[in-house]
Amino acid sequence: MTVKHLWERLLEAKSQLKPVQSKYRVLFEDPATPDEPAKVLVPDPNWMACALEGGILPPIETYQRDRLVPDGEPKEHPYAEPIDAMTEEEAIEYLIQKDIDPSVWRDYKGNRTIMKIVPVELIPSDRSFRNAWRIMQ
Amino acid sequence: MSTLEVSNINDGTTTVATTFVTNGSAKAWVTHNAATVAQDSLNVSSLTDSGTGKTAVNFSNSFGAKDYATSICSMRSSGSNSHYENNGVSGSASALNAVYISGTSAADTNVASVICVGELA
Repeated sequence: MTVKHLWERLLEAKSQLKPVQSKYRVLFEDPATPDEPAKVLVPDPNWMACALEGGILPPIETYQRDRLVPDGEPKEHPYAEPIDAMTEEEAIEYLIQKDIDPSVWRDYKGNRTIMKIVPVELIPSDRSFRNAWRIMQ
Repeated sequence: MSTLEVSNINDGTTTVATTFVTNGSAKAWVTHNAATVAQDSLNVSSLTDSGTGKTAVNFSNSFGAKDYATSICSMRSSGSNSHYENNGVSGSASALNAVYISGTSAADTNVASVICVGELA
């Protein structure tokens, strides 16, 4: 059976699934730019609905292999067989591997904690000093 | 769900290929608030709050190359005044980095929208 293109699956999902606001955020610092503030990864509600539903998103390994594919060359992830439903926690781990550089979650060997999964409530709502945010050690 | 299969669309005077329509539609878009939370979106897996006035949009389905077209609109509210900003953009086929600029420096935005049109991977 032919697998529908990922974008078509996302279109269908958007028309059928209710968005899900995640209760998590991922705080991380880029070791390549130590002077920059900590970044906050916010899962997209429509994407989270797809992850929890299953049968829409491709295996994370396809994104990782596609990182090595040059621009303009065919990519694997849009045509891969979709995976089953994930829990919200599994979805966050998937998202980390997809949207955060491996230098943060895989290759970093230093002593500083440069990535944390935190509840939404721990993200400050006051952004006055946003460019001074660091991960507390 | 039923599927309508047509190669061309005609409005009575002009005929265009169906791909003319599908290729011209936005392949990724998002509207987000000051906390970098998406209000609505298509083909976006996450947003990254990278600092004051800086947001990265990560795509679920990458573009074929990084030369897709982008439109960014942001609005800041200051008291009763609202104004549109100048914006900057850079990125790759799988993510776009938006910088919302007020005057000469990056500044947080109350509402921002990003639209991307181009060929998907």
